[in-house]
Amino acid sequence: MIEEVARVCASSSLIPICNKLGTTGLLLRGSSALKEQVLPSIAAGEAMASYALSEREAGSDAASMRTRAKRVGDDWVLNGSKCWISNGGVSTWYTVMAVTDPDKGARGISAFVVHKDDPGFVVGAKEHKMGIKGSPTTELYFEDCRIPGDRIIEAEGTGFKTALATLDHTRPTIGAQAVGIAQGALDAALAYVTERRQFGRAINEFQGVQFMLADMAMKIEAARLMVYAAAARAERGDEGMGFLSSASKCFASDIAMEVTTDAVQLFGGYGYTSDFPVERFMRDARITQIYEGTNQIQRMVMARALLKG
Amino acid sequence: MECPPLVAESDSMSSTIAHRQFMLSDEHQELQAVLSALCETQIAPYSAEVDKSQRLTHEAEKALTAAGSRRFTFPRHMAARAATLWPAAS
Repeated sequence: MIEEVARVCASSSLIPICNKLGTTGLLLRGSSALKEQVLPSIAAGEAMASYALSEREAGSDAASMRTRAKRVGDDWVLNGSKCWISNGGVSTWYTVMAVTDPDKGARGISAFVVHKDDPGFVVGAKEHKMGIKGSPTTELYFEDCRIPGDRIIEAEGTGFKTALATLDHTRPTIGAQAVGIAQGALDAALAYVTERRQFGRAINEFQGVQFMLADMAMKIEAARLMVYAAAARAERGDEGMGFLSSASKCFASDIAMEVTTDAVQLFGGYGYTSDFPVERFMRDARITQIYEGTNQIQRMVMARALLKG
Repeated sequence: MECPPLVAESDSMSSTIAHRQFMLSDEHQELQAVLSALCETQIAPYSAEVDKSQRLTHEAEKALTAAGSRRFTFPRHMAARAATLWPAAS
């Protein structure tokens, strides 16, 4: 689904991506009662979900986060801020990671579900981005944000594991988005080179153009197969899916950047204008190399899996 | 309906795991075709304007929700209120 939507509009593909990202931790590890409280409205299309892990000073090093959650009576009270929240302000439910025991490092992080109407929950200003402009990206602020005690996912201290398990399941969705963006750019390029004439013939008759098209399609197909394999593994809940999840996201997003750049090249000067869709595909592709873990982080995850044996 | 398994289980397919991993089931291919048509007709016409005006993708949200896309990742009983227009669901 994400691939097909991204093929025509990367911004729109953030709808299923965010809902998946914002609910996977709950689906994997939440209590039945919490699932019943949160998920039906999302499944019915009445609400959306987002995922809040990164902070201004804790991006790739997410475990160094500073947002705190303290027990106050039966409730939890959150203080701090999160950033780069896709569909921030649009979503109703947010899966939020916060430190419950600062002395325990990553084992002192817990996962919570916050509702947009919870007291002390504030949505910040929208970021001004290069691409995926139809999906707002905001900060979130927690100012003595009070939530019921049962809104914790699994036990205290398990939040970072939940966050990482979530990403193992969702990184292939970014790969799918990247494949869709790349395919959309190739579709547009194929149509253009068939119509565009130079030197008395369609430019698709030039071998240099044909080789570019073949390379683009070949790369997309390789990325698609890797993404499907990673998605199948995630669906089966295979052990050790981290390597392929990261590889699929990393490979597909690098391919999306290469293919969309080539698509702009095939359009020539027209590709550099907003009159044609390929410059948008190129701008949208760029984020897939960055979010849900930069591709440098993906390579660290892959190397760690390889060296672990 | 819930999303069908990504890996087809048909006996007619190659029994090798490697082969089965890289094939979409008939149901998935059907859903892919439905989604592709939906995207072309109900999302693509707005994609450039959404980018330029930096507005929310209301049309896509409406179309995807109406098409039952929300049912895919949730347990069946929780998605009871979700729309289902997939031909494979009938």
